[in-house]
Amino acid sequence: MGKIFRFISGLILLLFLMALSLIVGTRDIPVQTVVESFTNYHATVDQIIVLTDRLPRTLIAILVGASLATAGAITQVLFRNPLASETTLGINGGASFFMVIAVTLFSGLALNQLIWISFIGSGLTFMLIFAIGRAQTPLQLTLAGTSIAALFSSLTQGFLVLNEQSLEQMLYWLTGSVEGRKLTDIIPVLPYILVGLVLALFLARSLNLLALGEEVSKSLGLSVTVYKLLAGVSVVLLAGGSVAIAGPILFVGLLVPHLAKIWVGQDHRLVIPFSALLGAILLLCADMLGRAIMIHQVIPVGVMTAVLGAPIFLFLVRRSWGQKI
Amino acid sequence: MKKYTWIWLASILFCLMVVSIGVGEVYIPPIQVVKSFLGLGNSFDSLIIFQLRLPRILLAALAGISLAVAGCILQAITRNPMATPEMMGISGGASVAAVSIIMLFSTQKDSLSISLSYLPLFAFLGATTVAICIYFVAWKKGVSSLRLVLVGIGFYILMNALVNLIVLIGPLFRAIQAKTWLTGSIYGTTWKEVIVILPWLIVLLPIVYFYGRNLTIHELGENTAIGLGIKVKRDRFILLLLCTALTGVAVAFVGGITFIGLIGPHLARRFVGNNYRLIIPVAALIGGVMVVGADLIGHTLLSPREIPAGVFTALVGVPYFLYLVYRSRGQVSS
Repeated sequence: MGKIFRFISGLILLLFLMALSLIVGTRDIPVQTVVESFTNYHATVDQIIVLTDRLPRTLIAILVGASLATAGAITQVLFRNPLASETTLGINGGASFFMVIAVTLFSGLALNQLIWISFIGSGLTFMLIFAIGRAQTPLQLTLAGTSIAALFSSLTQGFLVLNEQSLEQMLYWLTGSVEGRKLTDIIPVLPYILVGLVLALFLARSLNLLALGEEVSKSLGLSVTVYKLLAGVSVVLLAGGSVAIAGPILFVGLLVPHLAKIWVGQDHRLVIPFSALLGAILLLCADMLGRAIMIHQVIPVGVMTAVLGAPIFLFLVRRSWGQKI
Repeated sequence: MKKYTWIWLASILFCLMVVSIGVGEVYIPPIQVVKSFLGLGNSFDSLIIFQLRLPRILLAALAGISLAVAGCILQAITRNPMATPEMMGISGGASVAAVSIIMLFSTQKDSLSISLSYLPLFAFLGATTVAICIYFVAWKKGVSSLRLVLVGIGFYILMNALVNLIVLIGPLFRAIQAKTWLTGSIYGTTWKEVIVILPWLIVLLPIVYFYGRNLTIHELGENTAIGLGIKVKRDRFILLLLCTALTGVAVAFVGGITFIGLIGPHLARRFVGNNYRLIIPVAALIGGVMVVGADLIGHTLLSPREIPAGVFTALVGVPYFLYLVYRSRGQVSS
């Protein structure tokens, strides 16, 4: 019962934050206007802001936060490595590199085409790192992933330097941002992310076994290869989908699963839904903070998560991971 | 033979520089380049060589040298073959400082409103700040090399985010300037930059070389070093400062040219073994060759467009790094 209560209180918090996210920003909008823009639409400036800017970015933050955190939780099991995540393995970087190339080479691609490029990018990087890193210590895997990410970011920037026209539109997007998307932009991405999330929930029980090690899971009758493949598909759907719509957002996938485990323990049937919930809450908070922290200037949420996430990462390295790995 | 490795590396570097000077919109054959060096060339060639191309090539070589030497120092004092100034956020600290300066003091026309010679100083301060922070955060009854590297990665990501933040907040024309610089480009170098960077290296490199023996001992471990009569903590601090100074100076002018600090020392160790007196000069020359080579490829491949040299060093560096990680499978990292 306690766990269900916790989940529901988390959901209520999320709903409250959603409402808050529609209200605050460079221009604060009264609650009444927000409600009216759904019930009694008149196309006033405030109502337009709510429906075309605030609402999409709120929904995207929730969607992306949930998928990144879930993908992170799965990756940590797959690599049996507390430091594994889309960020540290360079999967985000790979996806955004492919996206940048696609956008500069073939202009005018729609989002439902771009998302496949994002899947290809994240899938290839995932396979590369899987080939290198299966038997590695956490430190080596992290180093390998970070260097892959560094390669991709260097290549991406090289590409952008060649193509200065595209820099302006890309610069924002490269750091990860939920801004400037329309409500209709969510629709092509939504099915993939939902499939990824459902797949993750479906896999939760076998993730518990996989976390015990390959040998143990085999002897308990789990077809390891199949489940690993399914888990990989889920990660690619979630991470690729997120990058397609919001760019590379760092640290969510690395940190949130750990927070979830602190909250509800090691059972992945709980860790997965709680990660998704906490990821959505955290990304929403980070986005609101990015809007509120400076006047007349919105800090992209990708920068905010990195600035907020790095100290937590350092704290965790000092506290617990220092002994474990 | 090992003692003379640096001689053939130096000749490779020289040849590469001569070729690189010749290549460009006006092609000058290598023989003409050498003639101009000796004062026998025609005045048109000499003008191009001395005013336009030589500073750029020299800066590339100097930056490569300092990054490689900085990598040597860091790998020795962390006793981790995978530690590099870039991946530990030290270059990042220098970048944050330098980008802030570029953002605050640049004018519309691509130039700085304060003296150029401040740039390496600030970059050095930025790098040192980050290095000290890393050391403090990783400190917990002593510094384990594992925790040091992980903390370094944390700072690396944090510094990247800060650079992005600063670039985003500033106006757009500066963003393009800063982005080009960040990827590691030495396009449009003049003698001014070379004259600023040169004194730093003239002072720093002999000191590092002088410390070379100590580096070899540091790599044997803290207890051995103490047993051999080295003041480990003081020494480490001085060496760390040397490392941040070299990184800062290089980053200030060439931006994010990555992986030189990794590959230089590694290849050098392959060539000459574990004595840092031999490793340092060899690694330095390899660093020089790599950056000059990357720059040469960068401005010939899609000429007249310039691809930043940093792209090519990363293209060579990352696979090599992954190979290192792959090879060390199953080993317990120290």
